[in-house]
Amino acid sequence: MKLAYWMYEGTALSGIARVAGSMQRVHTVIHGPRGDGYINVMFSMLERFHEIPPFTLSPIGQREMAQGSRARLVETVRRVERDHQPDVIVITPTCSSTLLQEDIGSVARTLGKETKAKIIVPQVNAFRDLEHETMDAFLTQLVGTLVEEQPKTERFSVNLIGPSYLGFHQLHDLTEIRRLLADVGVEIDAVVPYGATVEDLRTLTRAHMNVCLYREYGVELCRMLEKQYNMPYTTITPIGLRQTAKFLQAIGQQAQIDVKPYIAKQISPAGPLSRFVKSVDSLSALYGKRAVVFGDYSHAVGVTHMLCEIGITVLWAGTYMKGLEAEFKEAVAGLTEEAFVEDDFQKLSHKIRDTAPDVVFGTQMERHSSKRFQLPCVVISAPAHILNFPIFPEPIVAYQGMAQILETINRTIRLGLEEHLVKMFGEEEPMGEATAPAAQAAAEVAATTTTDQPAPLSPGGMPWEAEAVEVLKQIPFFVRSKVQKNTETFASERGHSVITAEVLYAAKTHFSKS
Amino acid sequence: METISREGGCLHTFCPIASVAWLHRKFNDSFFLIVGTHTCAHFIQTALDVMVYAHSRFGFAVLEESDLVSANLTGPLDGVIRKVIDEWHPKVIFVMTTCSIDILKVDLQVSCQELSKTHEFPILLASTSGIDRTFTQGEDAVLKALLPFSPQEAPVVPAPAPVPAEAPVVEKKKKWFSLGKSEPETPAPVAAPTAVPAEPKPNLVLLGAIPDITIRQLVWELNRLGIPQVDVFPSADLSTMPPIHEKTVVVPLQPYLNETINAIRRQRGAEVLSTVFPIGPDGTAHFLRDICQRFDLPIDRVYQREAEAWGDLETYVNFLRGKKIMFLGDNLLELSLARFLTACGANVVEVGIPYVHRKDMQAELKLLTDRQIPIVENPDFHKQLQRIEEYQPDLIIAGLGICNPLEARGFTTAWSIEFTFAPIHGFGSAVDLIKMFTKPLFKKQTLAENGWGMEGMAL
Repeated sequence: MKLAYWMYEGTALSGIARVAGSMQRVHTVIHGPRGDGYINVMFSMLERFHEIPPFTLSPIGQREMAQGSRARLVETVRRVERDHQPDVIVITPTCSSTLLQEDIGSVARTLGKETKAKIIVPQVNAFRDLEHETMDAFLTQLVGTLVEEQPKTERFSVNLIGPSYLGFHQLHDLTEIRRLLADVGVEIDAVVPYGATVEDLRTLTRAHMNVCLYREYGVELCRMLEKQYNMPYTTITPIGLRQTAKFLQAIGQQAQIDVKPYIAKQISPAGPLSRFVKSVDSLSALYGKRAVVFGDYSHAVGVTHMLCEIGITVLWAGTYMKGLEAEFKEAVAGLTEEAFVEDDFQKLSHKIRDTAPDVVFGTQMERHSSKRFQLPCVVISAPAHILNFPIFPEPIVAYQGMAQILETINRTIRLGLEEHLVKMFGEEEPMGEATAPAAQAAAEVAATTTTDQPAPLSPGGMPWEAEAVEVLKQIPFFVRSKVQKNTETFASERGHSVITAEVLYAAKTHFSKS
Repeated sequence: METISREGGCLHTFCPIASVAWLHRKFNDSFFLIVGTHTCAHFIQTALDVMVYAHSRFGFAVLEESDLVSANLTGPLDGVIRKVIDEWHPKVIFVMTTCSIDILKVDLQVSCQELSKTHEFPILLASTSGIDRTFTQGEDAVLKALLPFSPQEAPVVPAPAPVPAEAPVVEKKKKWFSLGKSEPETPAPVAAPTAVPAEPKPNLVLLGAIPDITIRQLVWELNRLGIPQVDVFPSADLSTMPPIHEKTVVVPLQPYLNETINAIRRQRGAEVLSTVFPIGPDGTAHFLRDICQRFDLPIDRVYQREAEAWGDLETYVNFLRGKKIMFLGDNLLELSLARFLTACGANVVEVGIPYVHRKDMQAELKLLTDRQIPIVENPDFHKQLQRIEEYQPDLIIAGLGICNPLEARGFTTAWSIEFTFAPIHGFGSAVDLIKMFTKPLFKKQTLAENGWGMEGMAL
């Protein structure tokens, strides 16, 4: 048993859902208790889904616990086939249903004989495995089941492995990569899993090369396709100048295209990137600032590179991808003094506090930590908040991505410097109620009033009965003085001379109406 | 009751551990520890991250593979609890169990008892497994776990102070009497300090973890109706839980506290007043009237307050009149909300609800069935989708997971989970409550008038 406050990586279930839910005509049956249906919320809220997400829960309730869940599962799969007519039905276990140790595989085999849809049960340990390794294993399993040898496309083309729902700005990255590759004259044959059909997976071998966009998953698939179908691949995530150039060169080399003139044009002195980075205003705002970086593998590596490219000092860089420790250290060697892996949110939080950098680059968790320590933070990696699921283009990769991050850094650092002035909401009431003047007065009144004599809470204010003061004290501290003022205005307009609880409640109703 | 039909489930709802979101700040010096899988942690942080902060007073004891083969989890649980104690120094820990614990058939009750002894403070078990429970029932489990902290007897004290060592309470009482200058208050016959100290004194206890400010206004209403002492269960502090015994009248504030109510009936022999819930002016008035009648107090003032409250809602009520509203079923507040909407003149086309407790909900059920409102228990979402197309409701109250897709189909939705986070009880919250229904409709209207209707397309 392990104490955890937050998890950096999602579950096997979320990994399977990201792969299957990103594809077309694939429907997933989730075999688990009702709560496991939260996958729907992730898709419909974070991605602002306009369709009902392609997941159907086959719920495990008391009846299933007592009599087995096979009947319910069979019924659910049949209904999914009837209602949705997908090409593939994925039946996935969840953390808790794995503990039931039921043989979903045998249900799938039996059902597979009658359904038109292909039934696939992910070969994962849903209790133990994490999101990214599951995505990789499941992608490899899906492609392995469906792929066939195909003649190559006439012109040089690549498959993009990676873009999926619930990734960090991944669909915006996809748009940017499409533009980037179009600019250098490279065609994209298939994108996996986002928008992919069964047919796309079957014909994946038509392309000349695989591009694994995010090192966290897709590498196994690329290795399998290299081994079995002789397809080369690259795993560079194009974040920042040097990584983007390397990415283009890796593809250019295979395509026999000279990408250097294109790269030179992007970073030329007249271009917007150069003008931004070399401008004197960025000298004071950005240059020489001390930063720390933490995230998944690809974003932590990419952002570390990019920060060095604009003259920000990276004090340390870390990733929560524990399995990629050696590779990570090598990837950021020479760019920072300390590189490490860590998946304990608390430890990292303490490290940020102890380092006290000028700016933090991290996940949503580091944003929370930074807020506690009043440090500016730029979120550069999953896990993320709905704020990092923008619906309008905000890529992270390539030149447009770099521009976007630079703007965000610039705003964050500058606003961060002013933030202590406008601090609206503390995480908790900082020093209890004593910090708010109205509450302080209220506490004094409450403590000293031994008679029924009402007293004003602030100089020149109306007298408040102690009972009304008690009520006022329950109003959140940051709006309390506003409520006090509004109530007094309300009362004087209506000819009251003392604030009673009755007057306060009437005022509350009055103001909530407007 | 022929208007209640039953379907086969498969509805969109949250797991009961979601209740940690509104419970974890309710109790002083508490910590909520959810014993479950990685999924439990992932669910809370992804589904609720808008509402909760990192590093709050709750966390997860995530089961590892070694725990699956262990017959007794006391040892591993102790390890986690020690870390929690080091960091938070809680005075009470709620151990919330989940589906996995049910599936593994592990008994954590004994572990919690042992660990309470070891650490010399209460470590309480709340069964919040999502097998056949919906998310609000997590609160039920936690309140039930707190029942032992309510004394069986009122503290033995000399009259006239009803609660010892709390001088302000006495003073506050005096204040309540001095209010309402226009009409003299009836002295309270119920909690008047005439009882013999050794015997349990009759008391009134409101049951439910609703926001302090909301509960205070309800207490204030009751004070003014002639009940000077109103207790509330739970209180924020374990040491000040109100007495509950055979002379106590308990009135639930939330419609999903059936297990707690059951335990109160069985273990304490208290009377549970079966009434409607104080949600909406109609429900609040009904609730207050039933309490007054139980204590032989006049009810005229309730009518006056109800009329005032409806007066405040007038514009909104006019807007809602005749609107077709459908509940898909999620938070177990559906019967009360539908009853309120019906009283507003809305046309409630279906009340989907995960589960109907026939006995505890009888007063609400009667009001709905009298008006022939269709209730669907344990609804089937796919069948509901067909009915949505058929009914074409103006507003759908739905779980968070399906609001956006329904909006994309042109329907207007309100999130069912919001009703558990917002103050909706009592006359004082009636405006907030009705706004939760009118706001999405007003928004739709505003957008249509501002470029999203025909006008916008004509440009």
